[in-house]
Amino acid sequence: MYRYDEFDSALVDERVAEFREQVARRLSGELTEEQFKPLRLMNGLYLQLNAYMLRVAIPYGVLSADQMRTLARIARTYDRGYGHFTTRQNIQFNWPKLADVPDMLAELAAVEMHAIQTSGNCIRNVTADPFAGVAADEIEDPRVWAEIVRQWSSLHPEFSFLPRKFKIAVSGSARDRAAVRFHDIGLILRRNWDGEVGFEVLVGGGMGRTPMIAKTIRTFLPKRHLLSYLEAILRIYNLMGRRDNKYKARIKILVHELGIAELGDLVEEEWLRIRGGALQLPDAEIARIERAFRPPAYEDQPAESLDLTAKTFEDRDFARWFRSNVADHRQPGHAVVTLSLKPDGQPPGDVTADQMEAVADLAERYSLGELRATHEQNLVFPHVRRDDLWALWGELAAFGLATANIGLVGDIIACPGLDFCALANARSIPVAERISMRFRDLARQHDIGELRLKISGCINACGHHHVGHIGILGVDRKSEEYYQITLGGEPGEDAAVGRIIGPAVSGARIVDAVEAIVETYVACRREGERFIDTYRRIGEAPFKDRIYGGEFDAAA
Amino acid sequence: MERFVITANDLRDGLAVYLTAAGDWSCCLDDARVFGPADLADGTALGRQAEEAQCVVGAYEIEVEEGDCGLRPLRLRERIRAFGPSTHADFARADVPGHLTHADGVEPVRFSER
Amino acid sequence: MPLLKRGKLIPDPWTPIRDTDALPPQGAVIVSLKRWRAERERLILRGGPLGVRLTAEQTPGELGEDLEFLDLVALEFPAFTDGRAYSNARRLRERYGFEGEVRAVGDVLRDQYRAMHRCGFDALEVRQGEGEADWQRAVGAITTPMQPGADGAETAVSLRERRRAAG
Repeated sequence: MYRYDEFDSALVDERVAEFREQVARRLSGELTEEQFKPLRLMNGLYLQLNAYMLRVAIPYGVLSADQMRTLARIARTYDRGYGHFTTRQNIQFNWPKLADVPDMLAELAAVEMHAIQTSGNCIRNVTADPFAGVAADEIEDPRVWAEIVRQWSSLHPEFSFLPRKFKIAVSGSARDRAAVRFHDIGLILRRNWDGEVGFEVLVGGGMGRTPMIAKTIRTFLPKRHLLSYLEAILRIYNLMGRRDNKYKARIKILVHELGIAELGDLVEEEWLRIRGGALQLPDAEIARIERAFRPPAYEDQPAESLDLTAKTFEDRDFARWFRSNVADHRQPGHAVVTLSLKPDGQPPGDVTADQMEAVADLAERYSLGELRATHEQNLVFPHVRRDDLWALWGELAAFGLATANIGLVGDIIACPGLDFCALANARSIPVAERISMRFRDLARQHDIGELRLKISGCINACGHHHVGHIGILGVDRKSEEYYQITLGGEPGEDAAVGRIIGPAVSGARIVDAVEAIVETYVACRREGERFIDTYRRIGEAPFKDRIYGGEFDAAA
Repeated sequence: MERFVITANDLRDGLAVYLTAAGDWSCCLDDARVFGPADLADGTALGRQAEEAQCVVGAYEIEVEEGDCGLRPLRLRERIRAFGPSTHADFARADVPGHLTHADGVEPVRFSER
Repeated sequence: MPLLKRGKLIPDPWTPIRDTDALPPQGAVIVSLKRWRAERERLILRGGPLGVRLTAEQTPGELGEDLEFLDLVALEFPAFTDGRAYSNARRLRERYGFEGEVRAVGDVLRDQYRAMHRCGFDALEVRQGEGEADWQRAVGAITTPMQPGADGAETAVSLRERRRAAG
């Protein structure tokens, strides 16, 4: 992983000192809330329904064991003993005191972490494939470029007051595990005809009120031009993005209103004037960052582990976990393990300080000291020997981190919703919990197979419901919580926005409705079809009929 | 008759607070001064003053009613602010019936028990 | 309004002229783009230093070659959250090579001084009570920026490169 040099460290330390002074001026009343709000947002500090909330960046999801220990210590010392992993590979603390935040940031800075630009109308945390560096289908490691973009975007003086937030994601393979097509800028590493690796650049994806799939603005951009090209896009957006209406201020609206061709021309025109200058990184600098992401010195391991194979026959629970939570690794004899943060009936993504410390220890012993946060609110151990899987499973289970539900209906993504968020219309965590309890029979979950269910408490769509195979959106109807159901969303390379299948369903009936949808799939599926495959084949009608066709009272 | 209280977030810890009869701010809803339609304007003025004095953030009025355990906000959002998230027993009032989520086999999470 | 020029408080030698005001016979004047377009010959022949104030919607490109007649361009921040002037300041410096004064006017707060400085503003119309110490503190708060700006400051990348070259 990337290690700070003195310049990176100075930046975060100085930023803490600056923010400390800004907090002092706020507490003394010298700064009003209106003046302070953009400043605190640029350090990831929200004021929410119940308390302040600090969102700490986990750049492209990568964490060291030591960093995880620090997060545990911060949770204990300054918060209420837990943290929440988000849908953008960040972690949130829900109960900090304003005066403590500079100290929290100082402790984070000491382990090369920060909360810079995790909120506000600026460039946010750059996210990437949680399997970066270990996925077999990777062209190149996207984290190299995520780190380069992170540095370039940090405290960028020109882009600190954009029309709206700006999110960038990078994918290193054709299979898109970073949902790049739903970001303001998506970058996909590709090989051109000459075998040169560069970027396909996409612009204008997003969720929210108007979900849109990003469009390609440039099919191939040589790597050395990345930062100047990004700067050109951001400059055009900064100047031309709408500022009259918060809900029409993202770059996706500019793409929609101008058309991708015209936007592309404007960007090219700007770019031609600035390319080849100081933004073109020296080869040595790129090499320095590439070295940080070199594969670790793996132990030589045979491709298959006899011990592992035996255990999958002996222990059905382990076999189930192995099937859903373990993925192939490019290095023979190794595997990628996903730690489920979705125990039955519990808030998705919440982790106690005790669990964080356990995870840190386990990462050191089983994953070469490294772990990842995923945008589906789980954690990943990227470097596990296949021989160790059974032992690791046992240790994870002791801490409630081994629920065998990854990618299944129990692996629910949910925003914090009305229980925590000032923007929400309805609660999302209780709905996630109730659904997960309804489907807690793992044999049933495994039989249902891959089913990505995502819940948002309001149209801002932080739960990414638009790209759920089943999406649930909380709405406020006559002061009661109702839930709109969408089907057929997909975040990856076959990107699709889910379609609303009918009127919103009451909070009392939403879990029954989801179960009815799942049962419809099970009844209609063909051999080998996942939920999404069946939906694509048979369309929404059978599901609509089941929910709205008369037998099922959706509004009760 | 409609009843209101004035609420805001405390500047220092961000917690939901309520304007009391003494003119200070309490985390406990039952300490709140109750206004009727006739004197609500006084309440909102006091809220604004406290904002300008930079001791609270975002003061506004909410409607409440008498419940089994004291005052109860009409809106769910305000009940969550007053009684805590419905999902985390550690951070919510245990004495308010029906506030914490108990449905479909769900028990509110207690981190101390994890 | 106090004027911080390159971090120093100085009396303002410029006079803003509203569209409806008469032009003074001499002295440094700042006019709107609208007035510039309407009276540019007259303004140029007048012979004094000339400045144009652009709103947030306007760009330096609209002045085009007229920039060579100008000693000052003022860029407006209608609200400090409106960041368009940062891009326009950089275009003035980096695309058009403008070497006159680039002045920030409008909602100019000390927490944005550094960003303004890095984007090429060398003059800031600030609030009463703000001064040189505020500017020093703001601009000096971050020693080494992570990206190039119009201020020509050495970035982390260029310092790393220099260090590599030095061996």
